[in-house]
Amino acid sequence: MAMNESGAPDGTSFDGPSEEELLPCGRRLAQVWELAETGGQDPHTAECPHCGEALRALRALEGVVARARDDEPRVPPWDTAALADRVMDVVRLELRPGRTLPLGEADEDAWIVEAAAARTFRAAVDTLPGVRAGSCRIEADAQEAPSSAPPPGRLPRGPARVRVEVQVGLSWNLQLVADEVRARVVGAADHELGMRIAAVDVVVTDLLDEDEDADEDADATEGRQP
Amino acid sequence: MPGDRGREPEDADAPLPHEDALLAVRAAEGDEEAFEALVHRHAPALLRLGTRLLGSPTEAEDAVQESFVSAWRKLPEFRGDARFGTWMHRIVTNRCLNVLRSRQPVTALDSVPEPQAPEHQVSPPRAAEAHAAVADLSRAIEGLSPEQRVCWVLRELDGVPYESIAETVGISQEAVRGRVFRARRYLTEAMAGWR
Amino acid sequence: MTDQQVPRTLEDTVGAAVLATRGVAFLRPGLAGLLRSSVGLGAARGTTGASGVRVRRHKGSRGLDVEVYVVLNRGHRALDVTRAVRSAVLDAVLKEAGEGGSAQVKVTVTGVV
Repeated sequence: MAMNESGAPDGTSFDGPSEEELLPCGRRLAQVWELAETGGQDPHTAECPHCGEALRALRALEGVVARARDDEPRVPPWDTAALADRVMDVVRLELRPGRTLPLGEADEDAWIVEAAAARTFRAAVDTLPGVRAGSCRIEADAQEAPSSAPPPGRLPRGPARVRVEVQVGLSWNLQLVADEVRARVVGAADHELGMRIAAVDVVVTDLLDEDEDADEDADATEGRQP
Repeated sequence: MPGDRGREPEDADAPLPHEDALLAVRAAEGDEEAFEALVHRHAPALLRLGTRLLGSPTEAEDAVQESFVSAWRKLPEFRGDARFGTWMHRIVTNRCLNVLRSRQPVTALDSVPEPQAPEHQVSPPRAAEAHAAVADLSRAIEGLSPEQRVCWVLRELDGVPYESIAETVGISQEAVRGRVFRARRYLTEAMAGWR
Repeated sequence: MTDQQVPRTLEDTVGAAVLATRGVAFLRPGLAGLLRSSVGLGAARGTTGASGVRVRRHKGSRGLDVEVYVVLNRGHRALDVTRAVRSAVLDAVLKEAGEGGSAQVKVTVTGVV
């Protein structure tokens, strides 16, 4: 390669300032390559044998890189399912169940963890066509004063307040979908859990175009506030 | 390895962003089934990334596995300001960078590869020649510093823009350009025999 | 706390009664399992399924405090299962401790599968 000596690889100083390396014609090598990468034109480079040589070296490398990419196996050599199993074995030792919520009447001693209750509510909401539940938080209802202080990590034994965020298909009427979501949550709380519910807050975070879901691109379409 | 024809590679390159956002929120709130779905969706692309960065499918598997576990632990703080896939890409890249750094002492600093010439000069079978060039490239990549290697692989093999690499690795865009340049300079030299 | 320990056999009996309840998928290693392993009594794993059950003597009386952590099978109403678990536990305690046996039973659902 027709390059001057100063930037020749010696294997030890490659983190050195080789970006300043000059070609015999006086052009900076880094600049010549950068111009080529951005598709820019330089009348000097088009004529100069030194620049031409430097560009051929870059193109040759790119050629091998392209071949290397083509050589990657089309069918991945990994067992993704086994990997997921190993990850989940660790995850299940470090679950985050959340707080513990009351089941049944005030004088009972039955409870359920928030993560399990939330999953039940999300699944119930998901049965509505074009509706998917995201965040689902369950709080003690502030209206109901607790009769006695709950044990640590547990909510008071009163009716709970559910706040659920939903992604909704464009064809839905928003008032209607909020009512439907509320009904599913209350129904699941009663039939599947046995949990008393004071109120359900429904927050529509995204409107989805069911036909063109993949087109949804911008992160800005996220309506969630931090 | 290749030859395992039974399975279709999952196309995790274009997962639906809304579905990802939804699953990430659920997982952040403790839904481990949602997290498992995310692992299945993103593992193939991340394994490919890890293999490119580390040059070893086995080591890539370890790095990706550990990255997912640490993602589960960090998820409560993940507020969805980046996409889950972007976030994971960053975690895996940094994990691989650490693997490469810890591997450093093994690779002697002066083991600059000699420019390799094609062994058969007289009408070599093109496919075999191409294969040998790729093998030489893989060897030459081992001579890059971990920082150069990560920046170069993200730029040249993954096609990541300079500004995204800067964000991922946590250095300036100029520093990324410098590292990619030095990697190219080194590799063109190492591969000089193939021109 | 040691003076409030009860025989492991009682915990195992209670655990078996819980597991036999319709709708219970398995017991969850709860407080009992964590305590046992941290106190170094070992045997948190390798024993029967009683790791999701904790039985302690009620202070100053013959009664027992029982805490149960269960994972349920889908398709069963959680509250109904916890009620069935409670009566199964009370039956088991009565059988084991005789006439004067009584217990306070706290049932916590930690998952649904």
